[in-house]
Amino acid sequence: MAEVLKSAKIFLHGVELTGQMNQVGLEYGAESLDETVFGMDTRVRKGGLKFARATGRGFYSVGATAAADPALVDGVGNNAQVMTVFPRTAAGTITEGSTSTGSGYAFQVTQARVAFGGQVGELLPFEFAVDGRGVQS
Amino acid sequence: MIVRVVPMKDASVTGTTCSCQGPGVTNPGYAEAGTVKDLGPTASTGRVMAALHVLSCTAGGVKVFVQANSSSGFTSLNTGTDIVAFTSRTCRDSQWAERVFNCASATSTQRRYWRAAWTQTCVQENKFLVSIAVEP
Repeated sequence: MAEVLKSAKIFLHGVELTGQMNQVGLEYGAESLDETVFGMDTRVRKGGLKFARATGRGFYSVGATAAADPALVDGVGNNAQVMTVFPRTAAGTITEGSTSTGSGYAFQVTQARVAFGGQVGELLPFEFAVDGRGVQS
Repeated sequence: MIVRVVPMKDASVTGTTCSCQGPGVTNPGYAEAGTVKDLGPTASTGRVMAALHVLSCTAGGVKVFVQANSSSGFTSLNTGTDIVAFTSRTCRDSQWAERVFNCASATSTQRRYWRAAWTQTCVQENKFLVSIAVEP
C-alpha cells in the first residue's frame, strides 16, 4: 500500500529536525563491480563496497541549539554523529518496541555539507547531506 | 551501513524524570528502565547496534544502557545484562555502539528480550531517544 510521507521523524546528532524539514531521503547501496572476462556471454557483476547517504531540505532557522544553525552549520566535517530517521510514525509518535510501523533507520555519519539561500520574499530554505561513515575492517 | 532499528525508549518529547532517590539506589545503579520488548530469537553469535540521541539533559546528566535477557520477566532494574553502556552525557550528543554477543554462551542463552535502562539524577528531566538493531 502506498504511503503518504507526512509523519516522519528525523534526528541528527541529538537534534530533532522534524519540525524544520519538509524533505528527507535515504540512499543505501553497494558498488556493482564488473568482473566480466573473456569467454563470457554476459556482463557479470559482483557486489562491492557499500555506501549510505541521507539528504534533507527544510526551512532555515537560527538561534536555539536545535535550530538548523548551529545544529547543522557547526556539524560540518564531524564524523562522530548519528542519524536516525523514522519514515512512518503513528501521527508523529514513535512507537516503542514496534518492528513494523515504528521502525526506523540509523547509521553513523559524517556531515558532508549544508547550504542555504534563496530569493527575496521566499522562506529561507536549507539543505544538507550526510554520508555513512563506514566501518574499518 | 544503515540498519533498520527498533525504538526502545522515546523520551525525545517528554523527558524522563524518574522519582527515585538518585543514581545508585538500585545496584548497579539504574534509575529507571523501559518496557521489555521481544525482538525474536538469536540462536548464534549476533550483533547489536544501538543509536542514542541525547536531545537535552540536566546537570546530573544521563547514562543510557541497552540490556538483554532470555526471559521477558526481567522487570527488576538490576536483572538485565548490559549489552551496551553509553557514555554519560550532560549535553546534547549522539552515540553509536556496535557489540558482538554470543547467545550460545552460558550468560547469554537465547537472548530475545531487550529494553533500555538509564541512570540520572532524579526529578531532573532528560530527553533522549535510543534505538537498536539486532542481527541474528
